[in-house]
Amino acid sequence: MIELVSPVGYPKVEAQAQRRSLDTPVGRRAGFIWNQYPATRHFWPRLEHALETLCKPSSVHRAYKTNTWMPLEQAKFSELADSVDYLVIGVGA
Amino acid sequence: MQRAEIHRIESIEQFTGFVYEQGWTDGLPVFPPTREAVESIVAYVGRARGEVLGTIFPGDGEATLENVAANCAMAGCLPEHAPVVLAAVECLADPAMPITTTQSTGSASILTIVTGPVVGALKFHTREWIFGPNGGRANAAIGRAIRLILWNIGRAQPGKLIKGTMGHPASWSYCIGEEQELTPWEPMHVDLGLAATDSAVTVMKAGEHSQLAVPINTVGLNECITLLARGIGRLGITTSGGKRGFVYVINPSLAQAFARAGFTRDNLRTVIAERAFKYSYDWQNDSNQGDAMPCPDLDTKAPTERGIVVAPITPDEIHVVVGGGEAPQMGQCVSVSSRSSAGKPMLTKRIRFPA
Repeated sequence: MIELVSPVGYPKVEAQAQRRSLDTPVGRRAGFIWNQYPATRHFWPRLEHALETLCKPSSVHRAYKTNTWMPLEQAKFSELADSVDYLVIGVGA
Repeated sequence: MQRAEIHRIESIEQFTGFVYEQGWTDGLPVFPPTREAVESIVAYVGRARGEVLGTIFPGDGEATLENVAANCAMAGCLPEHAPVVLAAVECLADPAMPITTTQSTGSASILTIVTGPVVGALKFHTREWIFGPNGGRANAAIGRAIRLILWNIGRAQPGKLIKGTMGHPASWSYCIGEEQELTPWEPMHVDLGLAATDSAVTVMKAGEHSQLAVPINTVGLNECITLLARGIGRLGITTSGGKRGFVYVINPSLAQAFARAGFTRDNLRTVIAERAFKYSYDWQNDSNQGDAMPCPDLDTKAPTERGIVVAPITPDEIHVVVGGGEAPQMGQCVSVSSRSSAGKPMLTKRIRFPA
């Protein structure tokens, strides 16, 4: 019999447990971050419209990036995240 | 603190099939991470097996001394190699090394550069075919261990958490040691604030890997510097946003020629940065660190009329490492470039050896 030690690492369970869940997106404060990737320019406005129609958010906050490379500036992200209950993020490059 | 799982097989003949079934390897054969092999590495390091070293991107798996040791064993590391791997893990787990390091569609690899006295002590192969394959156990095993750590702890597995479109052939094992005896300068990590007597590991998000011939017997050193600088200028990476890093691995003959002419590593970095530019004809990105835009004078000017756009490269983004074979008639260089949308493209940590 040969005993082998697993080389696999697992994410911290505590970190998973700290995640908050949103019981419903309906009537909550919504946020959108979009990188304006060309292939999504027709899709994204329709997605936003559909979600707003479906979820009737109490307020909507948006941040549209001007590039696909860089993350949204930390200060802008923090301000947005503090203003909403959930974020819909569009990425792609 | 997590203890690593223990698996049991009946015989060594079962190992190869078992390890592929478990998904513990990136495709290349590996050594069995037996309890004895792992114990010998943990005992050598002299720290608690459950010590948490941090989490490894992109899967945020928790790296402990024990599971890192298991990956070292699979890579064929000697226990003496483990402190080097642990320093590299410290770099990978540092929040300054961003998650995008391996997730990008650009297929960046992780290059590990080992500097200082440890290079000689561990018998790194630092001369001909420094980037391998070269028979150097330290180069290959440490590089493989880091790759397997990314695979097994970071879950950097294609099609799942990493989306590189092409991959990177050096990713199987991408580790070099800086030449100790033939270099005219102090170790590269001295530029980063460590002592020459220290040993250190630099981990770099490595994109383009290019060979440059620098014919020191037929052109002057002034032209050699221009050749090195144009090596940066032709890389598309210089035109995109974020933080960048450029590593020049130059062979000892070229380094010695520069040193004889009075160059230090520091002022060599400065003159390379001064000459690294691109013609506007080639400039495909705008100044907003972003998306490709048509160049306004594309195809409308003769080459001599084209403007020169100075790439905003600074000396601190450039690092010079000495390594490779001697070739007095022909300087040789490998340039490795890096760009990171967020965080630092490369990090250096001092190696902590057992007491």
